[in-house]
Amino acid sequence: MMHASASLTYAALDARANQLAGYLRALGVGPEVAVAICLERSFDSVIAALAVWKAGGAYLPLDPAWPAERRESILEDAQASVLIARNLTSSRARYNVDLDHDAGAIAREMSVFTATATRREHLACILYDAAAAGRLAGVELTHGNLLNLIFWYRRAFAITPSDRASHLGLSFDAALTDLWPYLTAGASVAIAEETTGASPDLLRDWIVDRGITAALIPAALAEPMLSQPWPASTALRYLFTGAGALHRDPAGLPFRIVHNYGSIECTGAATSCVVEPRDPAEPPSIGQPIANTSIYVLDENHAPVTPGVEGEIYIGGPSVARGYRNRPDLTAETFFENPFSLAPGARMYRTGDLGCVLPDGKIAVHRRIEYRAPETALQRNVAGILAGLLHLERVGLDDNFFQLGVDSLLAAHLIVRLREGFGVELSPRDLFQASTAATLALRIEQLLIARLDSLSDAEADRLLAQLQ
Amino acid sequence: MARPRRQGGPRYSKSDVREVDIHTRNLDLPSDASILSSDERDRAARFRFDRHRNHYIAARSALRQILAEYLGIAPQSIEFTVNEYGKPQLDGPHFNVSHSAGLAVYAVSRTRQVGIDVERVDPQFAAGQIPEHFFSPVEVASLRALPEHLQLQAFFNCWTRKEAYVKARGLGLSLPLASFDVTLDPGEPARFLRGADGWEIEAFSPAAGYAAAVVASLPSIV
Repeated sequence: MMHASASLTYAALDARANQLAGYLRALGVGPEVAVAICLERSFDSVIAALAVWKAGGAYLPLDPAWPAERRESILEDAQASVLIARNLTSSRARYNVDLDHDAGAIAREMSVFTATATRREHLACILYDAAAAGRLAGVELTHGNLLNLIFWYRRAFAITPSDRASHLGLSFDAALTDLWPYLTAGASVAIAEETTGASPDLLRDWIVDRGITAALIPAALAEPMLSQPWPASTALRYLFTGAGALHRDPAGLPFRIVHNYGSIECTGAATSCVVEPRDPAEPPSIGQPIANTSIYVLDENHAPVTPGVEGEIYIGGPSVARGYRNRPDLTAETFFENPFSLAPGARMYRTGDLGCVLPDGKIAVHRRIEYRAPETALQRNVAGILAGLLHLERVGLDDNFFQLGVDSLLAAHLIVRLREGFGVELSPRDLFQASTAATLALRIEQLLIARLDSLSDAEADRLLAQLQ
Repeated sequence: MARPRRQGGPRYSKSDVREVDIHTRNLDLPSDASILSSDERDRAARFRFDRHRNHYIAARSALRQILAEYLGIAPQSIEFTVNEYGKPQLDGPHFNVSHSAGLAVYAVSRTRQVGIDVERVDPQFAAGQIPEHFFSPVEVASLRALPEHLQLQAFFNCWTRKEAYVKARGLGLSLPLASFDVTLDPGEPARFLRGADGWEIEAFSPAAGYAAAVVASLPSIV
């Protein structure tokens, strides 16, 4: 591995990972144990991830650039018992491994270590989407998930020890493809530096200078970077980027542009295709499924739609994640029994993307389904109360009260019922500002949470149960 | 006191409160939607149920027709604004509207600020715990002290009188309901017992089974 002017050999990587693994094992890290890693992209972060695996656990990357509050929420949500970081001030984890303060103790561990035997079904990593504001959902990926991805990638892009990837950081789901396929193939990894992504020019220069053979480029940088002249001597063979990032003809470039369609829930890539110049009138397809993977376009009953008809895209195969950590409700709505597979216990992942099957059998993605957070019991309750008051069979979560004919007297009745039902000081103003069951339930939840501080543990538990 | 302006036509009366006219309309009768503004039409379209939509159209249409007489302009030309608290107003007479179960009442005055409220006395929407959450302690005590069979009417007396005052003040939700007391005893005239200095109140029944009240500002002393 390389980082700026420093380099790390496989022997050193292995030895340091072994020492940290011994230290982690002594803390109780083993199969199914979640270990959070909050480190800048560096040799240390990769060593830490490898150490966690050697001890049998699963790593959970936290980007130090994320707000502290978010990092703490994730730690809590994931119930991670160990945190590996530097210069820790406080943390919710039971055990904190500070690579600076505990360096001495770690260095005293043996540099040889017998890795814990893990199975395909064991947890390998837990990834939280950095972009998902609010809602926390950690995707649990197993060793089986990663193996399928890694071996496909190595075959598809013919990775040899002379290849070199550019690594952006553990917390990006791109790390699944920019790190592990290379380290398991004896190839090398260059860790991106501070200034690397600052401009398209610098990025191109870095890629060329470092002899990078495959790089993932964020869509925003891809377009301007691709209009730069590229020396024919560049080692770059593949440039990975988002779909639709390209509006110009990629012909004439000394490397191929590849788009991998997928999300963390299917281990980062479900399909892959080389981006070719195409007729803009033709819809873009997402290419071919990766190894052992199937793509389905289904209707609401999970039946395949006929070609040309729009349906929702589902993904099946060993890349489908175990589910969302500690969120059986969310998992149940996103991961389903796969009726099209003969493998026992096979599951499929609902992407939330709408698309269709093209005449040539390829799949085109149209757009996202409008994400609707699942109904909470509280929202149903509020809607039910209103329906009762209005003598309606049911009231939709997004129906505006006033458009349903609620006047000031009915509003007063509604407020009284909600105040008495939930013990919150709801006011007529709240009703004006949150005039649907969905938004009003949110307001009630805020008021309830504000009350939590004043309650005993038992009362708080009861209150929270109401919110589920 | 009803003093019909025209035989068989809309009811109109001079309120006992001086300088305030009260008009009544049946919203289930056909109305002229063509005089509504585009805002009013948009708002009408958003009602889920026909009944509410039709009542809204009829109420706005009647409002325009009533005000047109005072302003001497065509009803569709009237332009409404709202004050900073959302109370509808215009460059002309003061007015306020209320409707319940198909009956609308309008208070109009060239000189006094007004507020009006009507409710059908409906046992389905009777008090419940509304008094404890919305009325003043004095009002709650008076209400609960009454014989059971009088509490339904008393509740609607209190509600309409408090609403009429709140609407007259034009401060919307920022007026605390418990900051003033009204009488509510059926058979007793409407009065402010506390607060509401500078305002007067009158209760009336625009039709059998309805309670209503109108509140107007007292004439300023010149």
